[in-house]
Amino acid sequence: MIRRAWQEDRARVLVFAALAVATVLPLWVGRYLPLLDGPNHLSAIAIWHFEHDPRFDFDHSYYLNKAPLPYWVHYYACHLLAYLVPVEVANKIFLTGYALALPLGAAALARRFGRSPWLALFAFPLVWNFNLAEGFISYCAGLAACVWGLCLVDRHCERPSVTSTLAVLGFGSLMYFFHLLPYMFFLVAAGLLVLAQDEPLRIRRLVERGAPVVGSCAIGMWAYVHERSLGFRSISGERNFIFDPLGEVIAHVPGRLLNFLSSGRDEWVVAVLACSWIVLVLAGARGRDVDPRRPFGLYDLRAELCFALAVACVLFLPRSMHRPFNWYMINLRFVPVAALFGALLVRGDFAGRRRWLFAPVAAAGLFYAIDVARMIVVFNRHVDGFDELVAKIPLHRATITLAFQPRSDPEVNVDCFNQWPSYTQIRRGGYNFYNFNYGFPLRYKRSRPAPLWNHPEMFNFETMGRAWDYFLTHNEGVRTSLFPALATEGKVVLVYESGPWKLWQRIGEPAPEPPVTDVPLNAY
Amino acid sequence: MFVGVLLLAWISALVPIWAAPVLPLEGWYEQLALVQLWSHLGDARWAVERFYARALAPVPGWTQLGLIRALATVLPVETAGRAWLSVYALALPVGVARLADAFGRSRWLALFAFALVWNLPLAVGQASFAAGLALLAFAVAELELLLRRPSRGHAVAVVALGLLLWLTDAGAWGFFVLAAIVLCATTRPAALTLLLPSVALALVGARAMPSGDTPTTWPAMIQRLADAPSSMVLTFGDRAYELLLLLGGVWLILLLGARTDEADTQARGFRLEALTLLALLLALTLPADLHRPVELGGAAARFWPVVALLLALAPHGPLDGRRRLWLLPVLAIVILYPLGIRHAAMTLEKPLHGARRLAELVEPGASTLTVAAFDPEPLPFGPRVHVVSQAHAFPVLVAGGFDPALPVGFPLRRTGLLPTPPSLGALDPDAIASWDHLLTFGEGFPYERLGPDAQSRFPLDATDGKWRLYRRAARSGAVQP
Repeated sequence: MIRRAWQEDRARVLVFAALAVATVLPLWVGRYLPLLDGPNHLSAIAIWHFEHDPRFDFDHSYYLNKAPLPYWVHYYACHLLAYLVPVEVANKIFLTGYALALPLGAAALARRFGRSPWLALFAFPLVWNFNLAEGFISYCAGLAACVWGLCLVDRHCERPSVTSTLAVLGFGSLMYFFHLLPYMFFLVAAGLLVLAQDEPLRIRRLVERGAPVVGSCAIGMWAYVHERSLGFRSISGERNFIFDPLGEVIAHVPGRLLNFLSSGRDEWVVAVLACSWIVLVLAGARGRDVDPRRPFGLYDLRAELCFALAVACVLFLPRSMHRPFNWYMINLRFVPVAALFGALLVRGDFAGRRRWLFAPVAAAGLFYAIDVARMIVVFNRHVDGFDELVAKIPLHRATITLAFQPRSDPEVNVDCFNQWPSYTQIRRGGYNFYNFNYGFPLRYKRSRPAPLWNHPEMFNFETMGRAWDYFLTHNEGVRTSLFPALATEGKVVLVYESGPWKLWQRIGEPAPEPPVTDVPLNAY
Repeated sequence: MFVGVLLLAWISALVPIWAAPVLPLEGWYEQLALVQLWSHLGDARWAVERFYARALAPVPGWTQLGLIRALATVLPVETAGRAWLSVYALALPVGVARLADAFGRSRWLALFAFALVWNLPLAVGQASFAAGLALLAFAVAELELLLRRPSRGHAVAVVALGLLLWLTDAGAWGFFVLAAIVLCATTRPAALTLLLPSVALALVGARAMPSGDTPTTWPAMIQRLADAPSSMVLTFGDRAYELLLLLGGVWLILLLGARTDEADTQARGFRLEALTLLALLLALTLPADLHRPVELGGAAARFWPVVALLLALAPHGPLDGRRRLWLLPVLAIVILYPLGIRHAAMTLEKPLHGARRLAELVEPGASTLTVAAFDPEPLPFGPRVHVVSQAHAFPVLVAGGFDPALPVGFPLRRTGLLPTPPSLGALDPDAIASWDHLLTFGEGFPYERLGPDAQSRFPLDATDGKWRLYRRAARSGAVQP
């Protein structure tokens, strides 16, 4: 594919390569990525990988549930890579794969839809979209996979064969193991592609093209029927969806696109991309004067159908779900999806000097990627000290990490310290009160008392302190101060302090291991 | 056929103007009250001169208040205001059609402009800016035509429209100047001299305009983008957003379905797109409110309708044959949307009916102090449009007198005033002894604000719903200079 592209248009390959390097760069310039849910995914992978490793005692505190549920691709891929590299590096390799797969998939899809592959330049800044900032890694990876999946489906519809049937069936089923939302989007979009072909309703063609797509639903249906036996926390009762008013949905759209950085520079990137898109549309209209016009069918509107589907998801899906399980931010996750397919709406050939019209797009993508890399470098300076501090915690000792307000960083738009306790667990093992407790991939075997993640100031030493040996705090003293008073009372001693981090040790006997008990899954 | 469709859409746009008893426009009745006072200068019964004098500097506002004043010589002032709005409702789409012609676009795209007749600047008291939009379209069109085919007629039109724009709205005029720089820079820079008369007028007029020293606030970029849709159209509930989505969808289809010749002969380059970019930059970079060199409220947000109008003309290529059928949903929207506004505006009648009826009881020349408690009833026009708070203008419309809440500067300045209590919670009858009437809203019981001992000094004259009108028992009328 790359060789063909090189022969077709070397400039495009070079620009893509430059943007690919720039887009991947932020993943590797700093150890810590300020992704909100990111640390908890990492700890889930670490527990999975080091389940029986005596250094970490994970099997003392957790059962593993490896039922066939979404997130498997992310977790298992990183688990396999963790045999070669550390868990954090494995996750970065996975993210690198995502960061390359999305724009390359967009280029492939553009070509399938008869659009210029140059349009995939819009996909590079979309790699670092707000969903990734929130740590929805499986979702983002699922989106990239979805794009490739649609390429497969379209190719299969063009020339059905046994191989392509199996490929669509396999890939479509694999989509389930990324994330439910891209999986369902893929199924519907693939269905639209099937119906957009020539002679869509001729029985034989419909069966040939549609069978693997329908077959891909099987895994989802099976999981729906067997949800209770899969061990994932679901809440009985009438389904409960939360819908936002249309005005609120539209008002939130800009904030769900890029919006990674606390500055307004990423919004300027959006403005530049939007203006460039309009210029490309107008330029693309030139020279397309066709008289007489040829018949226009659904086949020519495949990109438009995918775009319309993504927009419909934004407008008509609920914002959140509380039953059968708690699911945060559903509809607005599709804003970057709509933007991705929106970019592919541009028609027209962009060859020769016309390629220069993409210069602002490339520049915006480069600028944004470098700005994100800069942000990560600065963020890592802000968390400096954490590594030395954690290294001082002995193994096999109960440690609680309390992230006090402010839980955000000046550089980032998400509260990236919400789930920082997971990093302590990844390094030193043991029990972490703040893991995702939904039944996959882990269930708690024991329980230790701790305050809720969003109220660390509610930590009560009398009722909770004895369960822990070490207390690692972030931003203690900025708005809340607990442990200096305890130190004055002789209950704890400050072991180490660096930047916003403090490590306190409880004075007294080591914390006892709590008994094995049936710890309920999180109820919402 | 285009003219017929335009008229049909215009007739629909007139429905809320003429059929709604109360117009859902913040500040509208205050502006009409100013015109009413202006009309009655010299009227002995009204004795407006006790409190106000003419202040007729060459400042923005003439095209709105001056024209309404002229119409008010033959029509009641409220009718004159509605007539002015009717002209504006036609002028904006016609101006956009002219703009489309000038830049080689299909004039059918001007149908989108009907949806923007009811824009947020109009709704929040910036009717002058709304009128400025219409004039701006004409002015830019004339300038482009002049640059393409210089003629004396176009030159005179550019000069005249430039002057008229300054006398309409400073923001619209400022955009015209910037647009002229953009357009003339690459074609005929010498044409910029045609702006000199309006620049001179602006320099003179700006000296008479107030400027503030309030700290400037710069909204975050993300907030600007989030506010953009609601800054374009008059919002009530989700209707306006549905309208924007539908129009946006049709616009996208027209944009993506455009086909032109290789040279895109009609459009001739990206000149209109450059103006759109200019408007976008202003919307994204100006402060929330401009205080220097002149006061310009909502400075940044008012350019979103400009962006929308110019973007509406983005699709290149002719709209003929079956492609024109895509405008059917647009036509349906621009016909139904004003009907929806009118329907929603009917709900304004209830909270304000009492105020209007009681205001009729005020005798000419009397001054009425209006005290309106916050009405918790949610009105359909979103949180940014406050109509009930304009009730203080109704007594002025009927009878004149002093009103501390009227925005003076143009066309009137204050020459005297009545002592107004700093707090309008509990009122001391002695503190308001100079006022002829007290109009209250939302009192739990009579004399809740004045106290039970005020009955002899301010007897209750009439009640209508939540409104009460008290009349001072004996006139003292001490006017403070």
